[in-house]
Amino acid sequence: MSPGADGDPPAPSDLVGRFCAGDEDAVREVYERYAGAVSTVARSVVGSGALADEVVQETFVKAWRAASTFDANRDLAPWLYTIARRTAIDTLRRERRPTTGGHVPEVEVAIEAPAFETTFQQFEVRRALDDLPDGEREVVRLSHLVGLSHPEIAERLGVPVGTVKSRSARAHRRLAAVLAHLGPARSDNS
Amino acid sequence: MLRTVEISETTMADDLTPAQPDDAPGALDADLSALLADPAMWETPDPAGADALVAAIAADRGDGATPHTEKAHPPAPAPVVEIGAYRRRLAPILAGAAAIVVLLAGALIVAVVDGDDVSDGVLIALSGTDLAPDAAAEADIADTPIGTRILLDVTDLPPAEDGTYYEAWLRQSAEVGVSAGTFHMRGGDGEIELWAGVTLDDYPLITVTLQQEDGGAASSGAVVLRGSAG
Repeated sequence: MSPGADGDPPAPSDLVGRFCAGDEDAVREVYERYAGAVSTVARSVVGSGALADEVVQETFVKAWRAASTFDANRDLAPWLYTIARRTAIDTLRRERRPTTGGHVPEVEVAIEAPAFETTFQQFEVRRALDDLPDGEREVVRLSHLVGLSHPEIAERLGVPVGTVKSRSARAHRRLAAVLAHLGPARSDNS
Repeated sequence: MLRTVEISETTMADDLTPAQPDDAPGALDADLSALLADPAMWETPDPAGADALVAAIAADRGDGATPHTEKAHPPAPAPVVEIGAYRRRLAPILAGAAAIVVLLAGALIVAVVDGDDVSDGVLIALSGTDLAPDAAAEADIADTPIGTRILLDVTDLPPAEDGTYYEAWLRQSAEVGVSAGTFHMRGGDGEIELWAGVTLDDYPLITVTLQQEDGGAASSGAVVLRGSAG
C-alpha cells in the first residue's frame, strides 16, 4: 500500500475499477482502507471536529468523481493523499473567507497549513498503524498516546507483560519496515 | 524528513526496561515518536462515513453525472437544480441541439466580431496579488451582440501546475461573479480570448483565480490577478 513500502501490496486495480464504477462494496472498501489516513491529514490541517469529517467525505467524493483520470495500475494512496491535502486546505480557506462585505473581489486568505512533507508523513504513519493487527496497534496506542508502561498495558489488557513486550516489538518492527521509505536507509553497521 | 525507525532487538528480553513509551521501540526515531503521540493519528473517522459516502455518490450519479465524465463547470454562482427524470429523457435531444447551437454560435462569433457591432474596448490593468506578485495583465474588454469579449494579455504568470488551472471572473462583489473561462499558461506569456455572458457595466471587477481540477465549479478564492473598471 505504501509507495515503496515493503510487504504492502498496492490496491488491486479491480478495486479501483469498481470504485470508479461506483460499486458500493468497492466504495466501502476504499473508505475502510484509507479513511483513517485521510482523516489524520484532515485533522492536521483543519483541526478536529465536523470540519475534518467534512474534508474526509469530500475527499472520497472528489476521488470518485475524478477516478476516470486515475491509472488503475498505480497506488491509490498517494493520489488520495494529494486530494485530501488540497481539500483540507481549500476547506480551511473557504471557512476563513468573509461571506459578507462590500464590492471587493474575492479575498485571498493566507493559510498556514503544515508542510506537504509533514502531512505526507502523517498520512503514511497512520496507514502503517491501521495495517497493524489490532492487538499490536492497541499496545502502540497505549504506549505512545496514553503513556502507559508495559505492566500498566498488561493490566489494562488483561494479558501477561511478556505478551505486551512481544506485541510491542513486533509492532515496531513492522512500522520500521513499512516506514523505511520515509527516510534514508540506515546501515546496520553504523 | 522522518528517518528510518531503529528497533532494538534487546527489547523483548529486557524485562527490566523502564516502562516508558519509548522502551518498546528501543531507539525509535524522535519524529516518529512525536507522530505516534499525536491524537490526530488515532482519531477514528466518522463511523457513518462509509454510508454517507455511498449515499453521496448515489446522489451524485442521480444528478446525471457519471464518474467517467468530467463535470461541467457552470458559472460560479449558478444555483444547483436537480435534474428530474423528464429532463433526463430529454438529455440526448438537448445534447444534439446544443451541438448545433455551438456550431451556429461559432459562425455567428466570426460574423459579429468581424463586423462593426463591437463597441470600443475598455482597457483594464490587472496586477498580481501576493500569490503571483510578478504577474500582470491587461484586459481589453468589449461588448458585442453575443456577449462580452475579453482579450487578456498576460505576462509573468507562472504556468498552472498539473491538476490546476486559471479561471477568469467578472464580478460584482466577493459573492457574486460569473466565470469568463479557463486557461493554463503552460505555453508561456500570451493573449487569451475569453467570453462572458454578463456586461462590464454590471460586473465591473475582473479577477483570475488558481483553481484545482477536482475543486468544483466555485471560485477557489486564490486570486492571482485582479483589476477593476471603476
